[in-house]
Amino acid sequence: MTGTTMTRPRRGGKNPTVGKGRGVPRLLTRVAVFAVIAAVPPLLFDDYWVFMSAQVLAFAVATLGLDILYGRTGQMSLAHASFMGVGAYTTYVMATNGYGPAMQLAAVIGVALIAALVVSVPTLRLSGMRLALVTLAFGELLAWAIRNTTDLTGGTQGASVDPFLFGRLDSSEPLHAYLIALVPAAIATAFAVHLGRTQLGRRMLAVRDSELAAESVGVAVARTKVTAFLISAVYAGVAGWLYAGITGFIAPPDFDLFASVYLFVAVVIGGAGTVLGAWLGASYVVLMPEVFTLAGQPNLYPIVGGALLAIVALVVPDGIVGLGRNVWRRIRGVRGDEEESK
Amino acid sequence: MGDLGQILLGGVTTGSLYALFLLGVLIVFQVSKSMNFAYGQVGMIAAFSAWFFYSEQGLPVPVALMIGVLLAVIVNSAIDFAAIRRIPAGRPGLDLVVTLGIFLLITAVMQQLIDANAHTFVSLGADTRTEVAGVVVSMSDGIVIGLTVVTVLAAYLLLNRTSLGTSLRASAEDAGIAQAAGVNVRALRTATWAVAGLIAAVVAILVASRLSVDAFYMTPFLIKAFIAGMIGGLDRFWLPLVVAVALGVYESLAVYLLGASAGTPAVFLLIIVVLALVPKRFVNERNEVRA
Amino acid sequence: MRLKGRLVVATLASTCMLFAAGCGNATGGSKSSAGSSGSSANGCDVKEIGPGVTDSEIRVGTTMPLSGSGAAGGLGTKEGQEAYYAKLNAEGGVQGRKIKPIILDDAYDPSTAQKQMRQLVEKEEILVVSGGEGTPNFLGAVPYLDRKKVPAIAPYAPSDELGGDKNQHVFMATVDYIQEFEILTDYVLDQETPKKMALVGVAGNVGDNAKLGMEKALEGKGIELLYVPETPGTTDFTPIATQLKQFDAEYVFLILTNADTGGLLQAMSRIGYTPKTGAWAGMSDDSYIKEFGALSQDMLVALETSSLESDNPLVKQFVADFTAQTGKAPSKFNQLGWVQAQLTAEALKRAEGLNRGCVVEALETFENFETGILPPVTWGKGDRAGVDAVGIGQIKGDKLVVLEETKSLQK
Repeated sequence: MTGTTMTRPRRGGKNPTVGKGRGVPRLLTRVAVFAVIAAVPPLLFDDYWVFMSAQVLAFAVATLGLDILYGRTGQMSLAHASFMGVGAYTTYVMATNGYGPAMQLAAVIGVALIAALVVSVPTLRLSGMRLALVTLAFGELLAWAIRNTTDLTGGTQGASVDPFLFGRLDSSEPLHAYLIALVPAAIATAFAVHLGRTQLGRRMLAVRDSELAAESVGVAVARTKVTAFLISAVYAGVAGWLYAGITGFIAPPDFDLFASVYLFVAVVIGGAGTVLGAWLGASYVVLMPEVFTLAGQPNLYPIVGGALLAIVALVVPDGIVGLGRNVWRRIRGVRGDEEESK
Repeated sequence: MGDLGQILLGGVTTGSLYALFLLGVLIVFQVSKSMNFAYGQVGMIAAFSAWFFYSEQGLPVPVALMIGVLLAVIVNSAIDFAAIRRIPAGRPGLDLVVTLGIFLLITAVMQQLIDANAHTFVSLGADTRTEVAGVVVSMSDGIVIGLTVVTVLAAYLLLNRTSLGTSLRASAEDAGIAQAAGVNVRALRTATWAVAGLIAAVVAILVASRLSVDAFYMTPFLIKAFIAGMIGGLDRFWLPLVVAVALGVYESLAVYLLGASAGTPAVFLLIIVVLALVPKRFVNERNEVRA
Repeated sequence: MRLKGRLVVATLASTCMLFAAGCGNATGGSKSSAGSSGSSANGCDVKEIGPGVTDSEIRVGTTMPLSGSGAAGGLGTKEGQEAYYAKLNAEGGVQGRKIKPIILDDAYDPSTAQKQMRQLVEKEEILVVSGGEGTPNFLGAVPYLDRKKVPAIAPYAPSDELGGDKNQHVFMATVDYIQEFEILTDYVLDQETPKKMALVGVAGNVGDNAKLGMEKALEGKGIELLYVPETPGTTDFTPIATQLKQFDAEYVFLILTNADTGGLLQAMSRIGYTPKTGAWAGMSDDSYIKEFGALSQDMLVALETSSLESDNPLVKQFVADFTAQTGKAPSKFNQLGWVQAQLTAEALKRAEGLNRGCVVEALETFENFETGILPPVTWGKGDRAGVDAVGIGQIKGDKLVVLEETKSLQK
C-alpha cells in the first residue's frame, strides 16, 4: 500500500477518463460535481435535513484534518475533537466579547495553532499509541479546564453561542448555516486535495510509511510531523467554529474522548488517506443515528451501531472508499459520484 | 501520619487493581499485538451478570460469581476468535475501531438485558476491618494486594520458567517459526485470551465490591491501565506493572494534597511530562508500540 | 502554486454561485414548509391552530436519556408520561383530541438533545414540549426552543439558568440546586447548630450551585464549610474520605451520581468515618435506596416530589391510577413523568386556542395549582419558577420517611 494508491482513488473514481495532472478540464469537472452535490440539500431537503447536512459539512472539515494527520502522516490523535473544542470555545469567548464571526475565525486559527504547537513540539519523538496517549491527556486537561472555568466557558452546563451573522445570512437558520459552512468545507477539501500533490504531501506519506526510511532519504521527519499536526489542528479549530455557529450550543461532552474516537472512526470507516473517505466518514457518524431514528428504532442505534461498526471495520478494512474502489474495478462504471457528500 | 498512611494504602490498593488489570492487557498484547478497547466491558459482564444472578435470580453468590467469570472468559475468547484474528495485518488503529464497536455493543446489550442503574455488590471483605498503627485496613485491601502479588508472580514464573512460557514467547516472537517447531499457536493464543478474560473478571468483581456495579464503571480503570501500559511499555513486564501501582499512589496523593479536582490534571500532566522528558533510547527501544 | 491558486478561485466562484441559487430558493418556497417556525407564540390568537394539532390529535414531545449512563431516569420518566397520557386519552383527551406524546432519546448529551428537539419541532411538529429529564441535555436544546418560541412545560432540569425571569419559554416546576441546598441546610440549622459542615459535589456548575446554596444558608452563622469537588469516574474515594475525616464535619452533604455516592459512603465507612449525611433529591429514588440504603441510614434527602407513601389524597389517587394503568407500583421517576404530563395536559385544557401563544397564556394563569406530587405550582408573567420549595425526607431502613412535606424558602 503505497502513497500513490492512497491518494488516487478520488481521482480515479471521479473521472477516470481524464489523465492525471492535466489541469483545467478535470478541475472544472470536479468543481462541477462538487457544486451539483452541494446544491442537493438546499434544493431537495427540508429544514431538518439541511441542518444535518450543515453538520456533515462541519464534521467533514474535522475529518479531513484528522485524515491529514492520521491517514497521510500516520500519527494517531485522540484529541481531534478536543481541538474542535478549542475552536468552539474560542468562538464562544470571542462572541461573548462582541467580536463577529470573521474575528472569531482569526482567533480560532491562532489559538488552534498555539495549542497544536504546545502539544506537538514536546512530543516529536513519539508516535503510535504513545502519541495517542499524549493527545488523550491533552483532551482530558482541556475538559478539566472547561469544567473549572464556569465564568469564562459556561462549565459543565455548556454555553449557548450567538449565531453567525454574515450580512443577511444568519447561521441559526439551517439553510443559511449550510451555505456558510459550504465555503470553509470547499476550501478545506480543495486544500486537502492539493496537499496530496505537494512536496509536503509526499513527505507526509513517507513519514507514515516509515519514519526511518523517510529520515534516510532526507525528509525532516520532525518538521513534517509538526506541520501535519498544525494543519490538522487548524482544520479541527475551523470545524469547531462551524459547529458552534451551526448548533448554537456547545458543551464539554461534544468534545470528549468519545467524540475524538468517533472522528477517528469516521476516518477509518470512510477510508484513511483519501479525501472522499473523510467525507463519507463524516456523513456516516453524523447521519447513522438519524437512519435509526428514521426507521423508528432510535433505541436500537447503540446496539446495532456498535455491531455494525465492528463488522464494517472487519469486512471492509479500507473503508467505504476501499470497497467502492473494488466495485469500480469490477464494473468499470463511473457512477460512484452521487455517493459523495450525501 | 495516620492519614498519610491511609492515603498510601488506598493508593496502593487501587494501583494494584490497575496493575492486575494491566497484566491482562499485557499478556494479550504480547501474543496478538493488539489493544482491546472492550476489555473493561468484558470484566463488567462478569460483575454485572453475577450481580443479576444472585440479586435478581436468587442464585447463591458463589455460583453467580462463577457464572459471571465464565461469561467473561467466553466473551473475551470470542472477541479474539470472531474479531481480532480477522483484522488484516499492517493497519494501525483498526483494532481500536473494531473493539470500540464491541465496546458499544456490550454496553448496550448489558443495559438492555439488565438495567441502567448502579447497584451495590457483595462486599467481599470490604466491611471487615482492623486498625493498624492508626490506619484502617479492610480485608478487601488485603485480598486485592495479596491477589495481585500472587497473580503477577505466577504469571512471571509461568512465562519465564516453564516450557509453556517459552512456547508462548516463541509464538509471540514469530508465529510461523513457532508453528514449525511444533507449538500449537492457535490453542495458545485462545488460552491467553481466555486467561485475560479471567483476569478482567476478577478485577471487575473486586472493583465492584469496593465501589458499585453498573454498565460503565470499568472504563476509568481501563484508561488508567492503558496509561500505565503506555508509559511503561506494553512489551515489557515489570516496568508497566510498577508504573500502574505508582499511578494509583500518585493519583491518591495528588487528590489528597491538592484537592479532589486536582486528580485529573495531575495524572494527565504527568503523562505529558513523562513521555516528553524520558530519554529517547527509552521511548524508541524495541518494537514501536502500535495499536 | 499556480494550480492551487486556480483551484481556490474556481471553488470560491462556484460556491458564490451556489450562494446566489440557495438564497433565491430561501425566499422562494421550500423554507416555509415547517409551519413550526410560526412567530405568533407571543400573544394568543384564539382562532389560530398551532402545529401538531389536528381534529383528533395533539402532538407533544420531548427528549430524555433512554440509553447510556443517564438512562435510568429517562426511562422511568417516559413511562410515567405515557401512563398519564394513556389514562387521559382513555377518558376522552383534551378539547376533544387525544394527546400523542413523542419521546426521543438524547443519550444525556446536549448536542443530541438539540438535534432530537429539532426533529420533534420540525418533523414531528409538536405543539409544546412536555417535560423532560436531565439538566445538561435539556439545556442543550434550550437556545433552539427559545429561537423557535416553543414553550417547554415542567422539564426536570434543575439549573440556575432556568426559572424565575430567566428563560421565557421554559416553565420550570422544580427548584434549582442553589435553592435546594439552601433549604436543606436551613432544615439542619433549625434542628441544631453544627460547628462544621462539608459538601462533596460533582465538579462544575452542579457542585458550585450546591455550594452557593449552602453558603447562603450559613452566612454569618460562623459555621465552617469544606467543599470537595469530585469528578465522575473516580476510582479511589479514600483520599476524599480521608480529607473529610480529617476536617471532621458533623454533617456531610452530597450531590453526586448514585454510583459515586455509594462509592464515597463505602470508602468513608471503610476508614471508620460516619458523620450525619444529607443529599440532593436524586437519592430519594427507590433504586438508590434499594441499592445503597444500608450505607445511607438516616441520610437527609431533599424531596422534589412527594413521598409515594404520602397520605395526601392526590398522591394516593396517583398511585392507584398508575397501578391501574401499568399493573405495577410507580417509582419516583414514574411520578415525575406523570406530573410533567399532568401539567402539560392542564395547560392544554386551559388554553383558549390550540396554539403556542395561547398555551403560554394558559400557563401564566397557574396559581398554586395542586398536583399533590409537586409543591403548589405558580407561573405568571415574567415568572417561570413554578415552585420554591422542597420536602425533607430521611432514609430509615429501606424506607424514605417524610420529615417535612414542603419546606419553602420564604422564612
